Amino acid sequence: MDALTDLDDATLLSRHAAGDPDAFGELFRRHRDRMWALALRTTRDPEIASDAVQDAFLNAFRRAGSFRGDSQVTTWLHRITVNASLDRLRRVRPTSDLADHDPVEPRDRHHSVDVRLDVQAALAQIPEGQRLALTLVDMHGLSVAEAASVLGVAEGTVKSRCSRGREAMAAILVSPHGHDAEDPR
Amino acid sequence: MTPSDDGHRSAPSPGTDDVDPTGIRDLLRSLPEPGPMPEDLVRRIETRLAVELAHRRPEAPFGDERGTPHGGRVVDLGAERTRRRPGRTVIILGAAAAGLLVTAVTVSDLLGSGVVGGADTAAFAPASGSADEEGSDAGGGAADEEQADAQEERAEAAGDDSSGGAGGAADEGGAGVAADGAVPADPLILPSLGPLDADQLAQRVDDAMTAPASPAESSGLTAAQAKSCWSAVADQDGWEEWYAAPATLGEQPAVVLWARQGDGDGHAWLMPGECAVNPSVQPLADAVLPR
Repeated sequence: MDALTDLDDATLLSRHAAGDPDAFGELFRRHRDRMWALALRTTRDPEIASDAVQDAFLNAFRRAGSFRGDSQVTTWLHRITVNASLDRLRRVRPTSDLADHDPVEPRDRHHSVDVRLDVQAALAQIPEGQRLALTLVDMHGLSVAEAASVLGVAEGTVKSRCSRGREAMAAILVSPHGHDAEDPR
Repeated sequence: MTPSDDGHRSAPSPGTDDVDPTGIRDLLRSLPEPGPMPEDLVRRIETRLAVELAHRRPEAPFGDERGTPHGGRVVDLGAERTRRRPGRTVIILGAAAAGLLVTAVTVSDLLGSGVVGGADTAAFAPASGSADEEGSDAGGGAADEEQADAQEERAEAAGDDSSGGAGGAADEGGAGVAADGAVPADPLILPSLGPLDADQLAQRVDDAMTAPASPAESSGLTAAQAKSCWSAVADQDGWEEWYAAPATLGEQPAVVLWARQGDGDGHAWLMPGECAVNPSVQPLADAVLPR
């Protein structure tokens, strides 16, 4: 038998669906860090992300037979993880529409402020759809087409959300006094 | 760009998106990775996956490469049924079912409420053994072979369901199966949910599905008892996954049953503990599960 580590994702998933008891473990080992990062970036809460990523891998385990192979396994896993993360978020905050969050409150900016925290805070303040698009495309390196598949929207929608999300973040990162925390341009 | 197949992506290649005049894309790309999945979470998920694997293994052996006789899905049911002389099967299955009924009534009478004791999981063990054992004993002799055949056929039919559940339970009037509908051949039995109230049903089920669990943790509920309880639930169509777990309602033993469809819809039922030996009882409560 081939070493599992030598097999590609689609073959592993197929073997798992056929009953190979070890194949999914290799998929889990291979993708767990990436899906953890995605869940963490989507939920912004380690506890919720833990539950979400567990949900995601369990769903993938159970529904491997439904994978049609018309996308990459990684894209499929991204979709399952994003959906699990959103489900978990809405269970915790069922009445909260993340897209309706107020813009970031004005802060007393200092040049010593950690730019990284600023970027993360700004990302947290933009509407959910834009944040997800930016998370997938800009942070996880998915193509627009892959992100569209993950989110179940048209490619044009992903492009639009990315563009508007970046503009919104840039606006948030500009200080009230006209100084940038870091010039993003 | 296409994603790499090893789970690690290289930096996004240029040209996959429009030009970004804001520079935000570069800022986002420069953010550090959150780091590897925490070890305790890795263990938790591996444990949960092991439970899933233990559940599905009998139904989906990796037969094609390991030489198991049936390979889970390769048996021609039509040929099997022809080979088995269906007339004889029906007659002897009827005798076996009647024997089981007599045994079940006797056991129920002996136990009063039908459930021994009052605390948690051990309460579900009938004094004279599981329903499967009862069926074998009651049918006795020649019935055993045919009952085994019937169980095999049900298992094969369930094996056609790629979900790993038991949606296709093509029962032929065998022991422990309600007359008005198919019963999941092999619901997944989870550890006890402990004390609960009827209004907590959906939340407790949700917690049970996400809580870390040990594969070695015993439920106290046997497969036969879980099937008996499922027989009491009228709504069995369209589910892909079936579950059962013991619980307690006040001082009384109870069984929680729940099922899910592939699209995430789910429903749960709170059953009296008596359902373990009496499939004619009614649910005490039910609830729609969150997706």
